[in-house]
Amino acid sequence: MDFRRMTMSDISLDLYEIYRSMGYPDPDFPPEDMKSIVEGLLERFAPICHPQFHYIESTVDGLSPKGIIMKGLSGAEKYILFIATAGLEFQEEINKISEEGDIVKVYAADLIGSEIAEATVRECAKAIEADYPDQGVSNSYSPGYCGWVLSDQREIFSRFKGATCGVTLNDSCLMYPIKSVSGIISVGAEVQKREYGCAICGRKDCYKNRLKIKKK
Amino acid sequence: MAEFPQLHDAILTGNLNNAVAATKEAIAAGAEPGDLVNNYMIKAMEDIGAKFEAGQAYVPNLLMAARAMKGSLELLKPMMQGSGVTSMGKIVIATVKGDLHDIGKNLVASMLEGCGFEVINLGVDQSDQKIVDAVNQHHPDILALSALLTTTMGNMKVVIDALTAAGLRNSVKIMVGGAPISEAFAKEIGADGYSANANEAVALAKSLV
Repeated sequence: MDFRRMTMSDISLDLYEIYRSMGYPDPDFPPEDMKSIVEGLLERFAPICHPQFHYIESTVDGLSPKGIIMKGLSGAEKYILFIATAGLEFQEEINKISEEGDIVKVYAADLIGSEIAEATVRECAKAIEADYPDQGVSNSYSPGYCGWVLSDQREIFSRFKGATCGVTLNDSCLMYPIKSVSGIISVGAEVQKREYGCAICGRKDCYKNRLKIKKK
Repeated sequence: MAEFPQLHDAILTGNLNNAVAATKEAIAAGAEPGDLVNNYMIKAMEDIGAKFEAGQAYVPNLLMAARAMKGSLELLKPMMQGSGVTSMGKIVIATVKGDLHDIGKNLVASMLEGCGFEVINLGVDQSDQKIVDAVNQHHPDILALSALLTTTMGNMKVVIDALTAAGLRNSVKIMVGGAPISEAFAKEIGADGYSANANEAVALAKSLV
């Protein structure tokens, strides 16, 4: 079990991913106007944001990840459940940005928040790998993706006994702060980091697969 | 008759400051708000939409153009009240229950507003009852529904069924969109139209009113 509250300098943001999500054909060289907006927002978030994660050892009993996820978790000797979040401070700041009414900034801040949450998950995965140095550690899988029902969030959250990094669920099982990720990772001698969920999930109606098809 | 190509260009390039300045200049020159909106601003939004379709512009360009359009419209709105300049139609837009994704929806809302529609944005995670209530209250021409997740797209059908049960289905056109949605899905759930992006959404809305 581990809990970590970090600063922005503790996580590694992939700026390329932010610009790629905006659709720019060469995310290494985003247009100056958008680069300036993103950099301005990062300066705004840096002193106030505290991304955090918490993970616990648990089981899959009572959870219903689909076959495709179970395949990704195969070989598990242990299951780790985690909650990672960009943090309440980020949420409060993006709420302020929304109130300011600049739709371009809100859009960029939203993508930055997604990347902060993903970078926090990467830090969480690193901490798990450090805890089990001689074991294989899988990729992470989350309810809402690869056909895993969102309602399993309730069961996952109940296992943290209130220590959820300040993340709460609404009646639709959606998380607040919005830029939060919950999920499962398996650990075991036979566990491999298989191709990530999107690479193995064939759902044609999933937007990530559509993007993949579009790229080809 | 004076011409204001700088207003068109400012919106096309997404330059808010230039758009506001060009609008002020046009007002000072005695331009009619309806003329500015119809002949320069909406044209600019159509042009940026065409560039997007052609792969020559990206989502941020659409947003920047919509932001510039909004800045100009704010200056013109007080002059348009009671002037007979009417909106192209009223649209209620929402992301369905269970889904917190609002960037795509807000982009569509901004583009629709920019192109002359009155838009009532309900927000995200909206239950069928809240959407039915909004349709009842606002009597929109179009209801636009958004979903990003495969696990929530089914709630669009729930909304359509609820509108039918409330006797409102025939009073409003329904358009759907969002990454997992397809034309086939839209037909399957009984929607009136589907659009794959914000630009198509504007064209679809125009065809539905």
